[in-house]
Amino acid sequence: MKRLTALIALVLAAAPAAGQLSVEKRADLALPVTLGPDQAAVVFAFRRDAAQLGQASMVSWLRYDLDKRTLETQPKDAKKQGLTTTYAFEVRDKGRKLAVDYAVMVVSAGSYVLGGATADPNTGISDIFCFGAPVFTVKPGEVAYVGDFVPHGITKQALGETHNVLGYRSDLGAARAALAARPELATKLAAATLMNGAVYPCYGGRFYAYAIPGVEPLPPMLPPPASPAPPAAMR
Amino acid sequence: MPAAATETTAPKPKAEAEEDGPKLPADRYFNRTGSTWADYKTDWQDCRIIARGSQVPGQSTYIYVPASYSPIAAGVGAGLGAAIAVAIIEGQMRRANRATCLLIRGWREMKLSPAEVAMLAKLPVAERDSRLAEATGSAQPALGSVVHAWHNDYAELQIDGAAR
Repeated sequence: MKRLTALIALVLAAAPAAGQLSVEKRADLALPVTLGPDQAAVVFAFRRDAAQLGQASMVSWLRYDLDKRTLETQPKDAKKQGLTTTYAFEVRDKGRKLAVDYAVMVVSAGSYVLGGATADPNTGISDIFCFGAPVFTVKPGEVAYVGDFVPHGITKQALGETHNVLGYRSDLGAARAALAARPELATKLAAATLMNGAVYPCYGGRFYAYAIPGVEPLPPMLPPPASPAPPAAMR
Repeated sequence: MPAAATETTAPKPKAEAEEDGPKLPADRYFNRTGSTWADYKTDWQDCRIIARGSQVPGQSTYIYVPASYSPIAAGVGAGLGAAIAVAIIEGQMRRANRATCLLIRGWREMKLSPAEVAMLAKLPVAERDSRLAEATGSAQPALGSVVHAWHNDYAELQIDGAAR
């Protein structure tokens, strides 16, 4: 009986996570992480030096249409239609006292833009990066390392303004080492290609821009394609 | 022309003044090298629409955001008093968001000293407007000092001007 229970648990663990419109739960790294045919895994960390211990954050990512340069919003009847595309996911920091807290999120393949952040993971997103934010794209089966966020908390700035500050660092080697116990992720882990400057409609909070230092901005939008010339007979 | 240090007409209620166009406190103005007051007015109007969630920043696409959720408003509670509180908070937030939008477009917010405010108040209207218009586009404005300028400080911590 014990062997049967263990077998069932193994089969369930090996099954890919069901596609979700909105993902808030991290992948359970105690079990093998299996991706569905249109899924990818994205890896983040919240990282703290001594000065940031006690600070925490939460970031949200929203599905983005790179061609139209705006959000790809969830259809109202998405559930009725049985859609399983990820339109948003939140990465919640769980370790105010941890030097580093890694999170792996299983999402639909596609492009995602940094939608917002908060200095308090127990509240909703308060700051929206609609004036310009980083965006990345993941393909099916990929395991993409996006980066480490460094929560400084609400901080007074040089010119007197006070707001949340969320630093950014990139350490692919440390992320790979942290996932060593999950070789199905660690062996495929690669740095996501990020681009700054993705804009989208502003709503529901304080609006900012967030640019990852050293990352290139999105290239300018292409003009819409010219209408095809009418057939010669119609000219 | 920029809002002047002295107003000859009775001030409108704040909400109404908001809709009319750019009006700054008597001791502030925005500066961007090579720009004109007309450029400022255009950007101010664009940013007003963006701060209301009706336009995608940097694009000409107008959008409709139905009953957007405001986390700030949600924290206030219910009732008429709360509705007024929400309106005040949302008004303040819209102004702050509009200012950020202008900063991202390269404008710097300048603050005049009390002596400069007093000096401008004594000038004839045409001369005062001319001085402010010149300061609006000057690389090294003769009036005021910078109180806000865009920096990527959400991602790059700056304390006393030094990134760390």
